Amino acid sequence: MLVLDRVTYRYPGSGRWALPPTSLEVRAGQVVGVRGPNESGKTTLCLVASGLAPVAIGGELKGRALIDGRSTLELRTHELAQRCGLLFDNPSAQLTGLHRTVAEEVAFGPCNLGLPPGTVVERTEAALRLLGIEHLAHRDPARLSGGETQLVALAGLVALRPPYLALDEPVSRLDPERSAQVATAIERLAAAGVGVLVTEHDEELLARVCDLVLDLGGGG
Amino acid sequence: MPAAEAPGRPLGGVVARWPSPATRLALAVSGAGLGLAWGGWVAIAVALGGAILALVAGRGRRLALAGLGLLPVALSSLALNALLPAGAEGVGTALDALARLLAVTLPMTLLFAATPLADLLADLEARGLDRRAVFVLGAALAAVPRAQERAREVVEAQRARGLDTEGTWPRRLRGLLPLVGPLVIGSLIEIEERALALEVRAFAAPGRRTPLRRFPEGPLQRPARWALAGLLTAGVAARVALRLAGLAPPAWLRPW
Amino acid sequence: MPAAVDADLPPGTRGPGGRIIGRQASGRQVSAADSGRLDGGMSPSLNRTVALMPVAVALNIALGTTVQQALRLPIYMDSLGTVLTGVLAGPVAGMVTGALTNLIWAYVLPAPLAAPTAGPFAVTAAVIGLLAGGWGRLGLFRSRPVRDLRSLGAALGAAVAVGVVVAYTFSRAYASPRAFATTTGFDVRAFASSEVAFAIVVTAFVALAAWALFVRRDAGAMLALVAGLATGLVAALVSAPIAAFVFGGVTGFGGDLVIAAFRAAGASLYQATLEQGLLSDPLDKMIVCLLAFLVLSSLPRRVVARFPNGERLIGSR
Repeated sequence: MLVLDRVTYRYPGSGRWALPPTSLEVRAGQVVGVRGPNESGKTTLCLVASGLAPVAIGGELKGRALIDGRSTLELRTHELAQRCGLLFDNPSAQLTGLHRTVAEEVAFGPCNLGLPPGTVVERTEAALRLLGIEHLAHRDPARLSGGETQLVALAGLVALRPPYLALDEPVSRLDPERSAQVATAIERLAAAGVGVLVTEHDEELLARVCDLVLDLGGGG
Repeated sequence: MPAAEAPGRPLGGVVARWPSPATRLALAVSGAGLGLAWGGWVAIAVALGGAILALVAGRGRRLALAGLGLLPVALSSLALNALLPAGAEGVGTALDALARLLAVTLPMTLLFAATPLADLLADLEARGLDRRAVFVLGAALAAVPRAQERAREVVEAQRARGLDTEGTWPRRLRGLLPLVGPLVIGSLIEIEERALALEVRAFAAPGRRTPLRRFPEGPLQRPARWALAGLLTAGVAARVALRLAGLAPPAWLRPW
Repeated sequence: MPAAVDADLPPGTRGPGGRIIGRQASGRQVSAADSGRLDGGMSPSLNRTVALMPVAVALNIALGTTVQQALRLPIYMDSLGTVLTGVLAGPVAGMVTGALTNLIWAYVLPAPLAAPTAGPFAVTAAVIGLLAGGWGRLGLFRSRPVRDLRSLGAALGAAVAVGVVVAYTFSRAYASPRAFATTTGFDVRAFASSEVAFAIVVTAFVALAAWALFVRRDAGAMLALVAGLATGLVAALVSAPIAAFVFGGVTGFGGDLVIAAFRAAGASLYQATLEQGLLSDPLDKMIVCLLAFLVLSSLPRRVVARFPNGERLIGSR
């Protein structure tokens, strides 16, 4: 279970607490949505849930962020990556640009861990299959549509087999058709047992995929 | 150029390249370095060697284009040094400089014309190059078309807002900040997300990364690389020593 | 049923300037430096540099091609990314960015874009990045209001100091060939013959400095300008031998007619290229450094702060 217990966070060098004290839980296979106005801390919430705040970017965290019982503060970033992935709203900033094929791009994560080549191939193929993008395997990542890029980025995270995912406004830059593709992917991930935290404006997406929707900075 | 991959498997595999990318790099750098240091017949030999190799490898056109890129400088230098010699040997100086320039340009251009950067980086990483260097080098090349596209968009957008790019130079000068500003600021703000995107893909994990592509090589290539490195070091050191001693290179190395 | 709670912000945790006062019992303070040490592996600041460098290299090339073509000004903005990287992430990052820009541009980019003449000047580009790292460490690119007399004094002092060095360099560079080779002192007659070139550079400097001090009202802008002048000087000194050695004493970027003029007046190979370089490089780098300053001061504070050298760039805004 991904547990946030009265967490509040402040960026380094900032006087302001970017996230109001928040508590929530995400179980395996559950999709929890969080909505809120701009600047209410949705991105910060995702950063805290994935542990990147404060482990990768510094700053101050109060309260506890636990992934399957372990505090995010005890983990290093590559360990966090294998426990809770994080997807941003800007598709193109998440691809490395180094790889000529989508398959190599998705394999980037497992390769970084130094896993045996057979395992790398297996995880890559599984990730592509789970998100329904096997047909993109040979394509050039630089020439994909926004929605396809977002799915490839998601596959890149899934290849690390994290039990949880935090998606920060995953469809905010996509048109309705592509948003539907991402929504389907989220459903498939949940069906496979991944616990998903989604922050979004898009009411349709929230209504479609979420088991539970919370308001940030408002009532429960 | 398609990567050599097993059919049906888009990932990895053994790639046959002869010589291996690392050896190619050693050849190009040592040739360029020696030609640059010595000039004269050494530079000419390196330049010719590069040109011949290019033709054999089918990269003649690419090298010809590189040569064309050097043409204005070469002509300017020849004209200037012939008409207004700045020392004893006018044209000789120009030719020597041209030889050095070709000795540096041709092998390096050939290297990257015949070897995809990604392959070179994969081979170097397998031999111990740090993953961060591999990332910086590879991502820099990949980022160029994106940056140019973005620059084009900013230019169009600003022109639509009335930016004058055709007028007198003070007006064009004033266009500098409105063009450069958004382009640079937009790129810098994205850095944070890009850095986090790397963390989230376990880039900071310790140890060696799994190589997806391997470039097997025969037993002679590694000693050959060491030999080339030694030759380069000795060659450059010798030339520097001559220079410091105020001596000129032997006459048989100098055609002019 | 879990719910997101909207509560009062924790009292008493904010101090002057946003500094953290003490630690809360339930929370754990982790600073950027600490988490670097926690991680072992790679510290977060380092990965920002790793993410920055490719972007800066691409920016250099885009500025040097697309923007250059659009504006057609004789300014080589292809060092802006290098300067920014040096200032934000230190001398080594600056050097790598500079050298990599030129090497990729010359040898790796495919044919229509490739500029093989840029290759040998990778050394100059690396030196520019190195210097920018130095300026960043010295905190020169920080915003400083003109009202602060100490900053103003520092800016004017730096201007005078660099001005003296520039004058000396010009006197040496424009000396007669014999004097150039034999004397090392300030040569008054030679300085007189460099009047035009020196005047051009000084006029440009004064005009931009006046803008910095009276329109922008920022002594930091003036310091950046001075840094640019110094950088241009060094760049010219580094480029001249490269041009002599590999290009036969021309630069291949235009300005060769100027070199011809200097040659006609009797200058040596290196000297003529240096004289031309001393005209164009200081002007070019002054503008680039000023642009870098303006860009940095428009960036959100939090973006700048998280780079390795960021703290020195957050001034009084």
